[in-house]
Amino acid sequence: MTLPIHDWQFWVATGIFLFAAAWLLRGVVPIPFLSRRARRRKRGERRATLTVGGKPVDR
Amino acid sequence: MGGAATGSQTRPPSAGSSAPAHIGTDPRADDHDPALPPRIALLGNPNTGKTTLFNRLCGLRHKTSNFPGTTLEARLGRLRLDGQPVAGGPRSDCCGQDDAAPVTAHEPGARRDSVAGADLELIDLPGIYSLELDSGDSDICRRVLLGEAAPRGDRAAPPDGLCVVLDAASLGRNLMMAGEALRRRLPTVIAVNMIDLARRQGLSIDGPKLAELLGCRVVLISARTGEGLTTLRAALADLRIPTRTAPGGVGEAGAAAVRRWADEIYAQVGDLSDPAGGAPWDALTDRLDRVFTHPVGGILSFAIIMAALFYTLFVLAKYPMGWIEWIFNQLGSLITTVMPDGVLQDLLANGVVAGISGTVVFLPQICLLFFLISLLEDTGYLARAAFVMDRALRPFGLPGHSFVPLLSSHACALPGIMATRAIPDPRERLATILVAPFMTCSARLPVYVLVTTILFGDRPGMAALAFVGCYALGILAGVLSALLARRTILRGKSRPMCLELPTYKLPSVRTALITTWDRGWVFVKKAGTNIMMICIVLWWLGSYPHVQPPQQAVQLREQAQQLREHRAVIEAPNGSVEPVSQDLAASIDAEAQRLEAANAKSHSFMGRAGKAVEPVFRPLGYDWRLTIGVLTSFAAREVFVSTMAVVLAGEDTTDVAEAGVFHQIKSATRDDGVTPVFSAATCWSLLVFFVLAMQCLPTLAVTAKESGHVKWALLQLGWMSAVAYGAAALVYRLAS
Repeated sequence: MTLPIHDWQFWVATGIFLFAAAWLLRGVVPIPFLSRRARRRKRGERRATLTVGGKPVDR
Repeated sequence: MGGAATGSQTRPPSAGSSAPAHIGTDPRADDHDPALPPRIALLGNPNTGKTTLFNRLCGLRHKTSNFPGTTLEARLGRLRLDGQPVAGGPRSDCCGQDDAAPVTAHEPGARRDSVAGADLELIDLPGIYSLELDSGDSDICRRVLLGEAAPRGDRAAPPDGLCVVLDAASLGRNLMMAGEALRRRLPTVIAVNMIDLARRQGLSIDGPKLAELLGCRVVLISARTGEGLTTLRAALADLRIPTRTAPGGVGEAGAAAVRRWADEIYAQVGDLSDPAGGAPWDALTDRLDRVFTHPVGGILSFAIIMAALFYTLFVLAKYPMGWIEWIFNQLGSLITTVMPDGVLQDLLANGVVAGISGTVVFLPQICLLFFLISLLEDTGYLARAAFVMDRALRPFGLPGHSFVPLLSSHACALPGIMATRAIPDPRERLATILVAPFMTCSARLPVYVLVTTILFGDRPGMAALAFVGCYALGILAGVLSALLARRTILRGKSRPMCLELPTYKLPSVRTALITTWDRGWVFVKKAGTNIMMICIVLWWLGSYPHVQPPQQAVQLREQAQQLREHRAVIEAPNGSVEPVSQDLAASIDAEAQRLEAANAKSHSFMGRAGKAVEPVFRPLGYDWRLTIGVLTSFAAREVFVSTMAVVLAGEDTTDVAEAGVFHQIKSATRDDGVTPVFSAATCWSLLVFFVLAMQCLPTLAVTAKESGHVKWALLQLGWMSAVAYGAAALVYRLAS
């Protein structure tokens, strides 16, 4: 039972795996460059959730 | 055509809501932030085409339908006035104050001079029957107009103006909304929408007279065709406070006064000038409604329409599905041809391409389903279905109001749960929230398609029947769960539903195509991001660590090698090859390869995790591979197919690139090398499990938020999982 640590392709694949895992966990763990909120801010989107005194309207 | 009724309670009198809020002043004159564009609120009854108008004006494409209550939240959009004729432009249908007069900043009631040539911000509010009703949507609209509610991050302030959207075909009733709006004393324009439909029904509306009686601009428009929108843009850029108001007051007396006022105005402006024009249309509507709203005929026609829809889906979708599968096969072949053997080639071919194709291959089904449902929705039929289903839902303790959220849940449970806000009774609302995820959402479709296709192969009729059965099972489980909840933890009486039956319309292919594109794009985006990432993670976990090949595989390899050497000996004397030995060696090699791949997967990180959990799912007939598939589908249901594509890749001796992902999945065998992973009993068990199980984390989060407590989300998860597990185990036992 081994990991092929001498194979450079293994390290590339592992890097891709780690990126994919980080992508999937970005909603749970705050990862600055992957966070949804950061990307939304970048695109300048605005949400239309209505608030009263800064708090969501109780419906 | 049905009439309108709200069935909601009148809001208790309150000083803030019934009294004119800002008489004779520009309400945002003092607190308006000059950096923000002026904001105009779209207000009107449900199903008057506010969102269609909003989309047209702002170049957006939010969901619209011929169904009351489609808009659930307020939405913001930017209306660009650059290049538009703000004043002095074509005003053929614009009726009202000083049409030809240019806008000046100093006129009483005129908007700021900065408005002309600048952008406007439109806020699309949910449709309401009155601002005075005790409902969540009315409350939202009331607060927006009073300047108490604002989009998150904005300072709350009343809108700079109102655009009241009225349905030309139901103008008499819609005028009551206009009356309530006029009493707010905000700069206002009245947009009489669906004028084309009214004309087809033989109804003519005297626009100038209406403008005179209301004391504000009136524009006759058709948001669907674009008629009158240029004029409306110009009117929006030049809003004025109305010169007249409507009678009012609190409670029933106030409502009656507004009703009388609306009737008087309608009597002066509405004219059924061509009664013959509307007769055939109305006769057709009545004839159709006689069938579609009949207690028995309505349910029968609903079942027939849905069965026909799914049959069409299966028959038509198989061609594009074949094309997509071919494209991915070619892509897989290209990767294996171009790239040298190794880890990265395997990652791309068996991880990324196999995984994505496992999901994307179902894109035609998803698109076709949404296209057909959108067409159906646009005709106005679904409101009739809601009317019929109200009778069916009430015995289960659910109100007729639940139909719309439950119907929405068939696309996705998230908007369905949010749509329960329209249910006035908190217990009925909670019951609906709890059972909404039982409805078959689009994420389940790839699993249904995969399993029914494995079960029924080339019999689309049977596959469609199984599909309808899945939908029916979900609905049955939902209503029975609701009945249980209403008899135990959520006791109380059900309220009858009042629903406006919209006019039948020819469906808009454009709207259907937009909906299809949007849904399809969301699906593709998900496949290209989250599902691809899941496939990469699964591939890595399924590929490492490396293990020694099993003894049996080593022996088989040796046997194959011996046969080849023997062949070499035979070849020498006469120059021919012994065909039996050649075939035998190849098949022994293939078996050795299968054993090695199965052993490698079985001892990988993924295999170990699957085997650890496998005993839990063994009563349902799932091996460790299916267990992995089911576990990953708790992140998102549609991931199941991609997971199976990745988990099973390489175990079959046929190449994915040659045979296709679907063949790989269908022909995969368990560890014994004989029993199919997807046996008939397992397929039925899987179908039942996916129909009933709660496998969506975002839905749980929304349930916790909307119900106000996480305990309801946990109850939903626990109940649905228990029902799914029990029913799937039972089905497996019966089918095996």
